[in-house]
Amino acid sequence: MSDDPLLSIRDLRTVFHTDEGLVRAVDGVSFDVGRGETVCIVGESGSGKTVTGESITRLIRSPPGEIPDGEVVFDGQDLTTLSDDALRDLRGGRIAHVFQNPQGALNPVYTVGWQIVEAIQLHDDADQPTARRRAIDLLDRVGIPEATRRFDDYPHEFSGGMKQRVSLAMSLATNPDLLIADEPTTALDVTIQNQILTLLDELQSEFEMSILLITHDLGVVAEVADRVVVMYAGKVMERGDVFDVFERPSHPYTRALLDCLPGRGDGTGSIGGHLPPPTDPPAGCRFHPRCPHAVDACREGEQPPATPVDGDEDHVVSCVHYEPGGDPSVVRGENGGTVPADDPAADGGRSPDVADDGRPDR
Amino acid sequence: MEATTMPDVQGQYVSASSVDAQSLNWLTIADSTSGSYITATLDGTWAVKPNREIFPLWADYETDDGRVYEIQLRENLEWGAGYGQMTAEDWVYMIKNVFQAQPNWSGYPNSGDWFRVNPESGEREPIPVEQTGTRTFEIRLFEVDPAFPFKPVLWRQQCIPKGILEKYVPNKDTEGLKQDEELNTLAYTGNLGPYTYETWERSARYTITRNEDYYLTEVDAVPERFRNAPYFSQSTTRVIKEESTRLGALESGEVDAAGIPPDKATRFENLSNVDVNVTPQPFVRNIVYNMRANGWTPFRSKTVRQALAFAVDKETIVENILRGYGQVAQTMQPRWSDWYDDSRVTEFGVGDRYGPEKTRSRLESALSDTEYAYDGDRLVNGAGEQVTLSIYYDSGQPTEGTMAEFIAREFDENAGIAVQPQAVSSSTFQSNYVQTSAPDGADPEWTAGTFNGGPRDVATSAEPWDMSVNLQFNTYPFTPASSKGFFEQRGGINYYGYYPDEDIGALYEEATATTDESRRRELFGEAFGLISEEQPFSFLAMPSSVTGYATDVQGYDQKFNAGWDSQTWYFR
Amino acid sequence: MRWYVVRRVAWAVVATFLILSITWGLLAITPNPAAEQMQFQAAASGGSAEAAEEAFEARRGLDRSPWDRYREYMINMATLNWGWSQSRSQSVTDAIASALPYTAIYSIPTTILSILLGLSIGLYSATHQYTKTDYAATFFAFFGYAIPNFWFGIILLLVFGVQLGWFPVVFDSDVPIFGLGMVQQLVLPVVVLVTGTIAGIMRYSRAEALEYVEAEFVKTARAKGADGYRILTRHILRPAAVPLMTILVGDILGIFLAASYLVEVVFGIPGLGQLSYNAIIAQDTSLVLGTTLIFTFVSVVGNLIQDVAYTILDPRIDYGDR
Repeated sequence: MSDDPLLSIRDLRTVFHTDEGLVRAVDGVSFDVGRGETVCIVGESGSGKTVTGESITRLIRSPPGEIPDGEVVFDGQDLTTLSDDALRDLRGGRIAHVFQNPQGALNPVYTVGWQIVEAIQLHDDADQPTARRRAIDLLDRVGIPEATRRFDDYPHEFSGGMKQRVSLAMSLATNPDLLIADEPTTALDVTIQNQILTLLDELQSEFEMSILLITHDLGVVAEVADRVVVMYAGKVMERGDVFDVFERPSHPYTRALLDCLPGRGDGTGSIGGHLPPPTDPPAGCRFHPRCPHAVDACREGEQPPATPVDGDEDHVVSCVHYEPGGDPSVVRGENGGTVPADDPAADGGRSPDVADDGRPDR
Repeated sequence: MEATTMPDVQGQYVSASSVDAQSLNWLTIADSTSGSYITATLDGTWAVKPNREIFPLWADYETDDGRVYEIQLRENLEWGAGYGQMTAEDWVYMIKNVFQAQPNWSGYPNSGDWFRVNPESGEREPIPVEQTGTRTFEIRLFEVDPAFPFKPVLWRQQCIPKGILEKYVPNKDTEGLKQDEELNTLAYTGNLGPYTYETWERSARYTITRNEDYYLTEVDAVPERFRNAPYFSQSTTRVIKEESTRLGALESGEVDAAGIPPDKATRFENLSNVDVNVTPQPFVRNIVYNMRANGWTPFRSKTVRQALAFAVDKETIVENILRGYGQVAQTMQPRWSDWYDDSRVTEFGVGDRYGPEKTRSRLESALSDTEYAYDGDRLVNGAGEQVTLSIYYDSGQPTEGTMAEFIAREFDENAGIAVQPQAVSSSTFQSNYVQTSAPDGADPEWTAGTFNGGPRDVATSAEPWDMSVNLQFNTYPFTPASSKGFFEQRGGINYYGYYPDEDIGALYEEATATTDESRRRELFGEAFGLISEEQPFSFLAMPSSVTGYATDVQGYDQKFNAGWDSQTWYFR
Repeated sequence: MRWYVVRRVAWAVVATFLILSITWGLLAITPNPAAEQMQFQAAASGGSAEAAEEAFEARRGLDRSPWDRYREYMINMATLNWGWSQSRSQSVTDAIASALPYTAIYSIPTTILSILLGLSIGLYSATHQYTKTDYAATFFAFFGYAIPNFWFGIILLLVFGVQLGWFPVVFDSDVPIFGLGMVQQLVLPVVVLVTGTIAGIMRYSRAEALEYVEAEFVKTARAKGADGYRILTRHILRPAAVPLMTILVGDILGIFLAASYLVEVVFGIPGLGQLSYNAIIAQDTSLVLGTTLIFTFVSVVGNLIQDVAYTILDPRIDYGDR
């Protein structure tokens, strides 16, 4: 396992030119995705997490979208400066996508087999019979029964969960290094959700790929993530190893999110207030209008830079209280904000004794 | 015109027509375009020159008394398609079995021409026709009619071989006759015309080629210029419906001849590659007054009509509306006709016979014993309201519309009468304004047909109207007797309810029955003089026909019926 | 599916019969102005109006009872013996056969060009929405749509035919069909017609394509690494083809019969448009019925083919149970 991350994003900005003004969807986002690991971007809808995922391969529509700033380094290459042709090579090749809505993601007039074969043939010189065999294989691998027969079926002949499996098969067709999955289970019901997540897990180790999973569901994060990035209003509030973030949530927003989980906090289940308008974000820390711990320093200047928590370079937070001169206990309370270890809901049921070498051991 | 050297036979003559012919089977058609297509391949009996002389083509005639006519066919007339020589037998068979068939199973449009009223029985009977020799036959009219050869019944009358007709006569086979292939492709024309049929692409073009065997070139007694006629190798008529396209084709040289509307004529006069030829026409434009019960009753008075004739300036109509392409009309004959007697014609609407004071003073005295009188400048009725009259014109003819507007203005200024122009389509006008009949239940004393349904107080048209300029009437300069029906109380065409003061009809009849040419002129001259005095309509103008020819086309004239010798035209 | 087609065909026959009967009925009750004109002319020249009327009826076969005439026409239509055209003095089949090629020579290029240009401009507009090219294309399309065909045709003729002499002013039917001369004659009429029809196809295909441009599976295709051209043709056009079929199949079938009376009159082309119009004006019953039959047949078959095309193009649609 090499040390340098597969994907390294620094200060990514993505804006949209709309009639109402300039929408700063992603406003200075930085994080890494290591090889073979699963990173989750978590946040409310409108936090900019989807746009982040689509900006990596420049899937966003421009016009009206634009990536004015930032660095997206994938395996040593800066994708922001890459030509359109090279980027197209990458898309569906080494970087694959799976989207949220299985109903719409597949083209209704072509068979699923045809669509998987297309994914193969766009990046590979495979001839028709070879591609066909690979496609059937993939369908089988993602758990579609009678894959050979189903190869010739149309998307409308599959259920929602099956369609998502097909989408997965399509994205795996080229053995990608990175799979960007945008809310892959949100549209499915709970029982299917778990199946898909388990499948993802298996496929990750089999195909040796990294997964960047975008979600608003902390339960999903708890299930699959190695590391987590918490986004709010286009900016990263906190990021780090999933255990660190779940056991020692540092940013008020993170804490509020966790409090929303059933069984924790005061059970109110929501955070008061609403997202700031995307064209006119507040000065200072984006979260300050809703933050119970906001002080004057939070309301002016820029979003606070990412400061390590408790000296750990891996776990950073963007909050004035953690900067030199600030007092983290304002946020975390007396006991350091640690969540009691015997609360099963706190960490999704996993044992805290997992080997912390960055690679999940399951 | 006589050419000292013969023109060469060359070129393709292309003329433009706005409508296509309906059929080449002349037994079934009645439109002029079909007629012109056919006449180019079949000459017919004889032509009439502009000076009213008969020019024999297939035949000549002889008559002692103006009642019995012997028709003599030339000896070198050959049918095509193997039907042999044209003989009197063909003619008599055709006349008796098709033209005079009762009922008219073939639908021949002019069959009515071959029936006349027999004074002995008082009934309409077929005119007796007998073959008197191989190439001669006799037509025995019941009464003297010196104008008979000039009427369309014989003038340019064509014929069909008996061999074709006898296939359909025994069974009265209308459909068979209509669809006969030889009739529809003019296969039987032989040497009987200057051209023979080549192709007919419907709605596109009609092409005929020069007939080398044209019989007229072998006849001694014709002028030199017919010697090698025709002088075009081919003649094509192109059907171009849209006027701007047609005129554009004339301008660009794609056609050699096309009719030009008067308002565009000046432009063509200025073009170097087009010559504009103006020929007189026999149609007269009038204001027809409705004297029936649903019109304006003061029109029934001659003095009223005469007064109103002072109100409209006819020269302005000719100069401005017809752009100078026409002549002022004063009666039911053109000025250049043999039957127009200057000394007898009363003129109105020109020079010092026109003006507001003259109109008003005459109108006032003409209406002195009615409820109508002048209130200042306006003519008002008994209730003090200004007299308002309607005038109708054809919605498809902008020139008529302009004329109607002009007349309205003249009446307003000169007679103090308000006039409202109304547009109406020609078919609506025919059915609702021209056809007159008595209302259901009423039993008129007499009726003269669908246009003159009875006495003017009983029979009227479906819609009321006061004046109209819709229809142009043919003045028949060659056969003036044909217009008799307009000027008789019980004339078949008298849809406007005119009862003449003088017995004009008697003059017509007397003139028709006289073989003495000078006496006839006297009588007709008197008749048309009376007509101009009685003013049954307000005669306005006689428009001329304007045609544009490519400059290299020669041989045509500026007189009436200029096309009579069109087979002698040539390219320079 | 087979039964569906059979039932549709049977219904087509019934519908055609109804249309023809109604057409015949309308013609029969319309008074004929030509008859009145004949009578007027006869009376005006001192002849007999009654004789003229009698002759007219004999020529037109109007002296039989309406029921006899109706029966004869319907039987003729059914046995494909379409009778004799009074106004053209040729058989109806001859009349239609001679006019059809002249309509086809301008309607085929017009239809092909309109569809190709309309589709490509529409698709281009959809994928480049709100750019200058999109606005220019929309302006051009609506300009063509708004301008009255006959006026535009006359103007083009005057400028390019009479003034500049680039094109012949009158259509010459003698010119061989597959030659440069024929192409030269057809440029102006085809330009007039294409500018008129392109707007509809362009806007419609733009609207349909737009729906799919934003579709999720298009995003999937992009994520797979497909290039713009492939996305346009395979992922946008192909699904959009289903609703586009509603106008396209009709257009394509009418490829022979997209007759335009106005253009035929202005340019003097002796095609089906002026044939059917003149037949109606002249109240030439057999010819009117013949041309009506053709147009009816084409639209009925067109509708049927369109529906069948749906099932082929969109796997979600199936007429099995209907």
